[in-house]
Amino acid sequence: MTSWSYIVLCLSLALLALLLVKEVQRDNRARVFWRVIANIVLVASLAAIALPIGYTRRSLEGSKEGILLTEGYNMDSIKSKAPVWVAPEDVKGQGLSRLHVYGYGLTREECARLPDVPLVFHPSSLQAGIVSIHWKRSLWPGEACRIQGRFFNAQGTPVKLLLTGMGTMLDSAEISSGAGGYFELRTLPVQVGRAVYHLIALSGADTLEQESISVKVSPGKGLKILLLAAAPDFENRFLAHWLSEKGHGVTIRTAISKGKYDHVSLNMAVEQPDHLTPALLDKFDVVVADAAELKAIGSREYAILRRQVAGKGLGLIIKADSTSLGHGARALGGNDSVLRMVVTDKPGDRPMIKDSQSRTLVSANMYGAGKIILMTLNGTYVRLLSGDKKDYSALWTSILQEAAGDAAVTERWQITPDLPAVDQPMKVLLQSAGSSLPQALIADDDEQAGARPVAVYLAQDPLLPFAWEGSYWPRKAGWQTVRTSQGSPSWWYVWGKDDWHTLRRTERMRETAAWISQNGRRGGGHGEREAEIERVLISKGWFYLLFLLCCVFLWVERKI
Amino acid sequence: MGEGKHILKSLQRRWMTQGLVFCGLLSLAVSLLLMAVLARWGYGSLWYGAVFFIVVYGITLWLFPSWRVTVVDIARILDKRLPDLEESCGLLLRPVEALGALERLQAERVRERLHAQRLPQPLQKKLIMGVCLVGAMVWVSMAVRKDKAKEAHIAVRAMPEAKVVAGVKAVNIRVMPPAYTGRGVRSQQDLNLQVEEGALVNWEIQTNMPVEAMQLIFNDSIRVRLKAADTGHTLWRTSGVAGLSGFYQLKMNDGLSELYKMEVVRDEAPKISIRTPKAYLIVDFGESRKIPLAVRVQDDYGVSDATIVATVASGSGEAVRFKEQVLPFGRALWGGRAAVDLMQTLDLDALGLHPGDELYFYCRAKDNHGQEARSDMYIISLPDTAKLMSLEGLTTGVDVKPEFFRSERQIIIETERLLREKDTMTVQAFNNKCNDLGIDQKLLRLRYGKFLGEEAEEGGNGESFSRAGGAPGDFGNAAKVLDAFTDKHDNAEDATYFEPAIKQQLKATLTEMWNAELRLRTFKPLEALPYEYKALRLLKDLQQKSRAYVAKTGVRVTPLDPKKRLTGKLDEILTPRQHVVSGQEPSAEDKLRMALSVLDGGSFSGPAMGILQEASRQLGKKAMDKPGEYLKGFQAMRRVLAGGEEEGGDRQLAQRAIRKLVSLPEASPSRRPGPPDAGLSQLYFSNVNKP
Repeated sequence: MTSWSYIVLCLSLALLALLLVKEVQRDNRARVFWRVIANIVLVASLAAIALPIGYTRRSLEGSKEGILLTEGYNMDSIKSKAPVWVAPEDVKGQGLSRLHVYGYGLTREECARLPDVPLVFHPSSLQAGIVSIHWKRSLWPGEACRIQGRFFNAQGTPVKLLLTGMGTMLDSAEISSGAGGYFELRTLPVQVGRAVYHLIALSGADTLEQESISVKVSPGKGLKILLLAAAPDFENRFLAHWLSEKGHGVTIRTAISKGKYDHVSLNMAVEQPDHLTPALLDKFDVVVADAAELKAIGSREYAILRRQVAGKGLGLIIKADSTSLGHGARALGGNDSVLRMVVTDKPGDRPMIKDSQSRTLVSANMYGAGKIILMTLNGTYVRLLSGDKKDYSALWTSILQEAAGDAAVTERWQITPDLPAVDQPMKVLLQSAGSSLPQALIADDDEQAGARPVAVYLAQDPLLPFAWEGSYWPRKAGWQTVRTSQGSPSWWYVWGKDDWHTLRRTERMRETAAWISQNGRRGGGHGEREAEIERVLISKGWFYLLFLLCCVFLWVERKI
Repeated sequence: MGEGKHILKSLQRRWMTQGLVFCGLLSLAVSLLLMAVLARWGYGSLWYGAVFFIVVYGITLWLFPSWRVTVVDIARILDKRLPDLEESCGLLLRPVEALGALERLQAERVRERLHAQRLPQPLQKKLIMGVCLVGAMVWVSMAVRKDKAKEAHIAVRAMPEAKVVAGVKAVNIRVMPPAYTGRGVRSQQDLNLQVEEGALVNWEIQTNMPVEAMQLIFNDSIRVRLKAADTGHTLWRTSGVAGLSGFYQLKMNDGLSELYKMEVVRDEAPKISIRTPKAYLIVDFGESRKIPLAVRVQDDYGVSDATIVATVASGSGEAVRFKEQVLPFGRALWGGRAAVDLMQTLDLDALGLHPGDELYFYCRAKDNHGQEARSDMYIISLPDTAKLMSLEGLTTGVDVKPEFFRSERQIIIETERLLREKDTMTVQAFNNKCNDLGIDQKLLRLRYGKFLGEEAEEGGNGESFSRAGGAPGDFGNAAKVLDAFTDKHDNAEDATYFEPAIKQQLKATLTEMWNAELRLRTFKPLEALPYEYKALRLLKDLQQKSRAYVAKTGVRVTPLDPKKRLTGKLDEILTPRQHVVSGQEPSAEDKLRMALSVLDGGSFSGPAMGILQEASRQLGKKAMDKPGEYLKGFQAMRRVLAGGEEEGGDRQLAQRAIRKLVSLPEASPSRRPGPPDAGLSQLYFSNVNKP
């Protein structure tokens, strides 16, 4: 009994009392009994109109069906005359044997909110739009942004996809009507920092869809590289110059005689690299050494170097020369005087660069926490001289990146789903190396003065002590940032409610179908379950009729 | 009686006109609507309207035939509408004579009543409706038109238009291009200028109200005051000579206008292209000594002068003499046309060129502005045939085949002797001799062909038989027979005997020999001579190619100190050190890249503003050099920085300009964050390594 029922009951009783008093005081005493009965029924039906009146019964299987309408349903496709709902919450407690879902379906969360009823899904047909998309959100400078996806082209005419940003058109693709609709757009971002590109689908002059593509280019932290050269050569000279141009710290130690070295330090503090010590090597990320020089430094220093690679994750790049023949490299036969070498493939090696005859030129090998890379290319500077700076950069970036590996950080943030939307739940996941209890602080992009970040409390994973998870409902579209109270912020983009509508519909359809297939398996014994007690509401129409009949009787009785 | 009929007749006339007018109104309304629709699609011509009107008018006349009313109809209608007429209107139509007495009386009564009655106007309502319809259609088409006008207005606004500063009534800029351009004075109302270098620009600005001071500010630095030309201080003038590209703005009292570009077009030096001859020409024996020269000279305004400078180099070794001559082109160049085609013939004999000499020449052209340009150096060489015959060099050669070269020379000598003796010989003898020479030439050619791995004429003659079966032991030796009777192409040894370049020249030599042989065999030794000479020259070149020569030079080395030699001490050698720091802070280009990102975001905070200001400074510098390309972006950037009302797309404009400034980024390695490590992997590694 709710308070509403009490109010209605009290008011009805008061009304009944008033009417009965009036009836008793009436002069015409004929048919007074009937009139009293009519008054009681009248007030009762009035109360019944205001209150939900129902009865309980044992529900029977296969007797009652319902219809749930979701976004995009087509009225003409609904044939049965079963009761209709639009919100999944309303379906609860109806004792349905089957629920027909029309339209694009429900999300997994919405499906979970439905009562345990077998669903029958009648999906609507999709409209033209992007049905799947992927791109890398966070890029490094010089890394191309590749946007791959699928466009569902329902109309007969070809659709043009344009990628715009920075006030210019960056790329375009055409989706013909027949094909699968897979596309790839590609651009090399020139900015450093966050930017939003736009993906526009055009059919003739009509815009079918316009979506935001969030791209973040983070400036990388420079490497510290130690070059050990057995003799001065162009290769090291050009490499050092290129690295220092890019802002990396380089120290070159070139042997000029026995025990005598030439030292050059670029962009970093002056070191004394005459002898390799763990303290010295700690300051570097990568060591690039000539094979001859590694032989010359002696076994003690070489052991220190290898220990540093295995224990501390230092990258070691060995440039093969004639001294390393047999130790990983072999010479190619040829009658010319130039020594051409290739790497002998060993199990556990990862060939990185191969020539046209698929002979390995550069190969990487894991050694403890670090990597040892053996390369036989010793004339890469020729590319710089011939103006192929881009080639040279790409080559050395891939090699040095492989050698440097990843730097361990104290925390890493991830979010799910891939395309978070406003007013939809999303999860923030944290991997933390720290032992303290972390707390997520989430803020909008334009952190104006006074705008306080929202604190989200994280739950620890029961199995993995370093994994934490929290859920969050974004309120605003745009860039958002999360950080712990001491950590550095991590960015993601939140899309508006109406963005990616075709993609979201496809996802919903898939999720509904998946839910049904899962539920169908789980509810195998559903039919054998005992019939449940269900409550059936009596239609208000009956009470209206009763009320009207009583009124008519009372009115007519006076006329007689 | 006739009067009654008259009334009916006039009624018929009126109704007919009313019917026609109604149809007219209806069709007018319809055609107005159609016209409005068509005008919206862009076909708003009155002729379409006229055609519509006629067509629709025809249709309405057919659909609403009320204009076809007859007198009888009218009588019937009156009978129906007016009961007073007692159904007797028809009597009025009949002639009086045909009526009976009673009828006549009735007709008389009807006539009188007709006079007294108010006659019905059945078409009046329709007419009013028609007028209303036309009014409505006029209103609709006006609305449509206004809509269109609005669209057009929007379209015009979208176009970049030159904005006039508030308070400025009129601008008149007179540009007087310098004389060398040959262009007339022009005037313009747009403050954005594109003028020739050295042009006199005259600004005349008229304001709405008196102004105290007015200035032009060039490139944010140079200020030029305008002078008031009238007492009311509303007309201001100044003038200046266009020197540097950049931008300027107008300062009126304290208000600043937006930036206008001033693009100065520089005069370019003339361009000379020599079409013939080639850059290096060898005039062989027998070829014409008159070389045609065709030159095209182009300039952006006009060419005033062009000459050929020719230098004859004669002699050899240290006794080379040079003689320079300036040759004019045949035709005068007045008029200063922008592109001129010039022809001249270089007569090598007239220039004093002897065999063995070389002629170097180039063309020189001047434009109206006095700028001079010269073409590349071209060389014409006249080989000395006498020198080819000398044996000098052959005697000292290292790796030469003298017999080959002597043979070609021999053929030339004999050909020349044959020509000299031609008059003293019989035709038969001459022809025989000539043919013999041709055979010699052929043999020589075959001999050289062998070096190229070419097919030698062998196999199938008597010699082959003797070779195949010479020795009794070889009888039936298939290999030997095959060897004797087959042509051996592509002999590997032959094919790799020479380098490709030498082979190519040998081939060219063989071609010349072929040509010479052809002439000799057809008894034309005079014509064969040039080919023989050319073959000889090419052979000579071949011979020179295989020689290397290094000049002898004297070297003085510092004397060595024997005490320091070979001691192996390195103590005194210091370790060389070098320390360079470059590019630590974000470079100018990095700041531009950051500015791109900042412009993409929402509002700017303190450091972002700094980045934007730096980017704006760089853009401004660029806008000074190339206002046409960067000024718009710079202006947009300034508006963004000012933070006031930003026009739509200002940020995009600024981004576009900055994007032009920065280059595409290159890949670079960096320390990238990996997964956080709580010591797990270290633990794993140490456990794995445990024995």
